[in-house]
Amino acid sequence: MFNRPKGTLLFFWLAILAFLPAILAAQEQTPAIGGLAPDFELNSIDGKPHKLSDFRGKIVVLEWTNPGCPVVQRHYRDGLMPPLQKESTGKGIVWLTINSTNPKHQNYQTPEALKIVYGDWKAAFTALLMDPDGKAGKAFGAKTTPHMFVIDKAGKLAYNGAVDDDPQGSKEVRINYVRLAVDSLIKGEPIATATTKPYGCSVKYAE
Amino acid sequence: MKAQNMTARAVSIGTVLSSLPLVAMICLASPNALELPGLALTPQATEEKPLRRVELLVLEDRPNEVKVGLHVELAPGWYLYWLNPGDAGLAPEVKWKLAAGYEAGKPRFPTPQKFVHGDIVTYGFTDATLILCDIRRPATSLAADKSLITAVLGWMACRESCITGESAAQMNLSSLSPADLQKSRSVLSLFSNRYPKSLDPADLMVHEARLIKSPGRWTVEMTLSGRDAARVSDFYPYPLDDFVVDHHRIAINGGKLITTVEPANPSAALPILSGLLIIGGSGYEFSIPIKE
Repeated sequence: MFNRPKGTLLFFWLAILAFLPAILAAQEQTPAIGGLAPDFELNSIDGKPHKLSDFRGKIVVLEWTNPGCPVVQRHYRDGLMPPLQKESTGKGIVWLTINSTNPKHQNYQTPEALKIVYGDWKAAFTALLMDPDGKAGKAFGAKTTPHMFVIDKAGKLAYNGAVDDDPQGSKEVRINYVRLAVDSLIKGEPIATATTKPYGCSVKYAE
Repeated sequence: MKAQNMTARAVSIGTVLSSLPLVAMICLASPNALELPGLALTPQATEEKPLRRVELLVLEDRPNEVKVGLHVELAPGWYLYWLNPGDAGLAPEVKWKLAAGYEAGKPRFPTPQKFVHGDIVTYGFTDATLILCDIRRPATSLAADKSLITAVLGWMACRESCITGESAAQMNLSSLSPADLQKSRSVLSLFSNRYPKSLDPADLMVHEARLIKSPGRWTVEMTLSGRDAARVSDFYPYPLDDFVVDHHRIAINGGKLITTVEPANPSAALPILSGLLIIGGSGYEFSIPIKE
């Protein structure tokens, strides 16, 4: 009689152990399109906290960045990113640019230095957020700089991928996936291309 | 501010050629290739030269076809990406400048190495690589028609940080000597066993590629069989249109090769999956139709 509860307990723990890899994998899984975007709270370069869930009810664009990455530099210097930011925020979109570069990496810059760099580049984001431990980046599965995510008004992931279809920066005419996704959300239409392969430097997470 | 601005910004050939003193300096520094490292943005940028050499080698010069190789040597610690860079990076892009009627085929890369940094998986080359290409001569071409072949390589190289740039290399077929061919062949011999091989059905087969759909993420499950099935250690996929491969979740287990992909949209079609199966560091090319 006493053995049965012990046996049940043993079975329970064995079952937990058996499913542990799957449970852990599910926890590691980054959000799929249509899934709830993970929440985060990060300080901006001005030191103000910004919580993603506080923007529920608005369309949010997340842009992973690293000013030491030549692809990011091209998008700013060639005047691709700032006008898109300006156009988007002008439509009432919240644009959060996030720097997940770890402080030990040679590309890391202090908030004060970033203010100067992005000011020179005429960036027009809502806020530039610091994610030095990379938790927000890893929660979203941000792989590259730039890597773009668009979140709908319900807080669900609507787009994940590249800014555009021009990794080499050599096209005369580009398809801007972020603009298309935002415009579709504004119009209440389905997003034709919800996932693309992001391109650029890897996010410089802490090892 | 830290020395992060190491970008060698890509510049057009025309821009560089208009600056003859600069070209002269570059040619003196690198006699085998006309390198276009771009404009230095900071003093540090001039010290960073991830590509030590870019040269165009003629491997075979036949009446109807020229086989060439773009030989790239990297500085220690730097790597260049494969045709599928993986989760990050940029694939090298070769643009050819050829005489009228000449036509370049698809570039062929050696089997790359896999680099894993946390959840980010990339594919590329350290030390050196040799990108092969067959250039077809027009049918009307005469044996005496010797042309200049120019390759312009757009690249991203990374170490701790990344640099992008463009390097050009050229070869005048009219000045090609037996010594040039000999040298080219000796370089090729260093790489010849690194190019992907075809699967031998007697040793290894990939079959029953099954697609399992779940919202936002699809799984392709393939069955491996044959004498070498148990020796397959990895799968390096070729680039897919309309899909993003989760390279970190590629798994081989119990004779099954499992690949997770994210579709551009729910109606995206995945008719074929192709890439390299890795056995003992060598790549074996395959392509398989997918059943839903």
